Amino acid sequence: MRKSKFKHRKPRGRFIKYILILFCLAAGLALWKAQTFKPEKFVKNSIIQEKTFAQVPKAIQTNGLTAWLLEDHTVPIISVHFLFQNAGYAYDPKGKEGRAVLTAEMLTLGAGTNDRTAFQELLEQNGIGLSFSAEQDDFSGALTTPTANKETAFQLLKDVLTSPKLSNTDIKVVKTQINIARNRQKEHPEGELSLKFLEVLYGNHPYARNPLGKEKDVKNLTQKDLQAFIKDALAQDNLIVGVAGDITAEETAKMLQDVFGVLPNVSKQEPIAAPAISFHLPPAHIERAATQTSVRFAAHGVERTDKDFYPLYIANHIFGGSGLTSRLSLSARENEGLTYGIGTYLSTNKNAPLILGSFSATPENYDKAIKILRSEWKKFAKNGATEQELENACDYLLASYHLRFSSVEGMADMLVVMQKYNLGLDFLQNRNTKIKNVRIEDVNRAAATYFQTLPLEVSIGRTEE
Amino acid sequence: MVENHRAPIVQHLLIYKSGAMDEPFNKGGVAHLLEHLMFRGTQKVPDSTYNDIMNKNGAESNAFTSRDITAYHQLVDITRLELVMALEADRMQNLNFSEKAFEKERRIIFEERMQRVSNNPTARFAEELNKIFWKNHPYAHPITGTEEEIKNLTAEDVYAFYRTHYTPNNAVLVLAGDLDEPTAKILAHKYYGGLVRAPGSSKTEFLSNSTGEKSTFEISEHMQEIAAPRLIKQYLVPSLHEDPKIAYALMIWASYLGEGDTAYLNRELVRTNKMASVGASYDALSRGGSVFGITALPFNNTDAKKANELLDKTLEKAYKSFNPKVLEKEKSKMLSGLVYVRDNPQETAMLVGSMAALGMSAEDMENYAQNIQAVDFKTMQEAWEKLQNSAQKGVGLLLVGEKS
Repeated sequence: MRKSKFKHRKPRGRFIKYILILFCLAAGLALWKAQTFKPEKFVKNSIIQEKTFAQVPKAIQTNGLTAWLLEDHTVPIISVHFLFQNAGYAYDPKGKEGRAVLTAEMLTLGAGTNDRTAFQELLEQNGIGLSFSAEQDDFSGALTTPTANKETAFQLLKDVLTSPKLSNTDIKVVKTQINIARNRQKEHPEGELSLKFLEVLYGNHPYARNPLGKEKDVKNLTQKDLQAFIKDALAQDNLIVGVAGDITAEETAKMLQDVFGVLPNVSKQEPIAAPAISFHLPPAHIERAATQTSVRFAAHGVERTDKDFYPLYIANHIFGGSGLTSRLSLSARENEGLTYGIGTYLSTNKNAPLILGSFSATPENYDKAIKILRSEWKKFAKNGATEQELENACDYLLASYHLRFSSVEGMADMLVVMQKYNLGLDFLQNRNTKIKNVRIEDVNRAAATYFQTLPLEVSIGRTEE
Repeated sequence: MVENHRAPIVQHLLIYKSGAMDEPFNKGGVAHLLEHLMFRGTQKVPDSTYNDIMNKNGAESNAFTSRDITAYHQLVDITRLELVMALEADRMQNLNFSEKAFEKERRIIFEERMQRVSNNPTARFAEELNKIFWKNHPYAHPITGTEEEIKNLTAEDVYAFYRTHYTPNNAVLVLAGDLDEPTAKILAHKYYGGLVRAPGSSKTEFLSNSTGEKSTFEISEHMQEIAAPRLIKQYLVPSLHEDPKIAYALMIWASYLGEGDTAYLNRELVRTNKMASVGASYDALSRGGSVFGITALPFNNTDAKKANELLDKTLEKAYKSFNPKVLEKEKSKMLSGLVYVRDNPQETAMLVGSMAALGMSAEDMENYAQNIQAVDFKTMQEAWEKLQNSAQKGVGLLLVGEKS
């Protein structure tokens, strides 16, 4: 029966089959054509094609002072970013912890002939932004002004560097504010974790300090302490200046001389020794009522000028870099939905280069996610990355190159960073070649070296019922 | 479209004029969940391919959901503009995520709520205050949705919101960067011109004083983990599109009272060591009514309990000390930094885009400075009256430690 039926229908069946196959092929082709989205096609056929854009910074020098400049007249504003090395909060003398932070807050509260109100009104009425901050290593400042008001802006900054008011009334007010801010640090579990993470990582080293100083020390600081800091720490030999925006080389040279020429030549700040970090410590945990457990982790990294920098930079992008496509983000977030965000980044501080990372999750998901982190970490050390991952990472780093020029403040900042890490005036021209030259062996060597042992973990949250 | 030829880059910003306030009853969080799922695939660009393409093309890509709008933005090299436009147009009409992706993303937004709100004492307090302040208004509801709502959302809820609100006639496109107007027009037409328009979305329209009844409230709460008390004072006031004249005056009041070191409240209360900080704000850009808010940090619980009285007295003094000369000075303070808006294409696009999405015309944006300049002393007094006679006033006090 079956056989005959088959036989009987064979010719027609073959015909129908033939038609069907043809039809399916045609439909499939049409569907395939409609469904395949080819990103490269849109880039290749873009009506706006690649433009030559080669912004090269100039080094402006005058009487021993240097500023790097990116001249750009698109918008009539100027940004001057600067920092004093070895003048950050970790360099405060013992017993005066909080001195750099208090000074940073006080510097914009009156200078020269202007009291606090007059000084602040000049800033506000002229659209001038001026701020200072004390970081771990550096004491930095940022001045931004509309071109039309640049003379006022430069004069005000010069006044700050030569004759800040530092009134006792304001010192008292700012001390209270710093105290309240310090008390509030631990309101949020993440805030408490940040402080604990510094302590575990850096132990007795000054990097472990609370960025807002010690309550007792701040209380005892006097106007004289702040004056001494300004005189000793803010000098020409530890100064880095980056200038971007609507200003010429000549104007920059003049500003540099007028504003920063008043500083003493030599700073009295002593460099501090590198901390000895024990990455092999067992995970540390703070027990606290919280809806999520949060973690910070750290492993040994590389200095900015190290030969391994670019390989590790790319390795980090693949492992935990920005966006949602890194290995960590794919495995813990996209594929499992365990956390809102997970990632890693490099810190290239020459005293303590690190690979740093963090995430937070509800307790049950946290246990799964931390296991994923550890297993991905080990897997990366053992197997490294794939050629495809390297290609994707390079494409990202090359295609995003121009985005660094989106604001003059960002550009001024970049110039400061370039000088701080000795990247050279030609960094911008060479950066893409350096990325392209990284090969898979380099990435895998970096992965094997820097991901060899699991990172140090510090967490906070509720683990006990 | 805003030109900025500093570097060969562009900010592409697409705003849908719908946000959390447009969610159906009991479907809180659906606008936000949809925003997440927009990264989870279309028919042509399946699963997480969108993110892979963004990564390979060096894009800074993200999105956010607010009460009023949902925005998708990418900062890219100018050669990638057409690519992001093609992708954005595609996901405006062809969303197609898998059931698995839906489940993962729903967990992610749950974790996001835990991270941003539940684990953050000040965010929790702000949410409670918000709920009391807005009562039956959709603004009373958290943008993230409640935990219960997040757990009960379905893929169909998401698609329903998508079909209703994600249409070209409910969207605003902003391009800021290295291109000219003719090119922008050609591209906008090429990628968005052919999209199917929906028959107008059923949008929620709310005016701020919908009940017309006046009410005031004062609440206080203790929290263990808080180290310093907070005081939040809120007034319901007209938004920019409801009453532009009053709105510009309220912007000036916010600046005069609480923006910057020379602001009146700062001079009177902080520089004299009566409070640790005090600021004022006015969110003029809003679809459903605006809040004029004052936030203060008293030193301790004892001060906190007297802080509202102290604030009221100081506000009264501020009003009395205000005069036409002070007004002119305040205006020039507000306008002195206007040029910065043109610096960063990301910021320019966001400002222009949110204004356009919330009903402002191109003229309103161009004439911002003139509109501020035009505010006279009488209008300032009128705006003050509106503030004092606000239909809804609330004070929230967050205190340290356990209730004694």
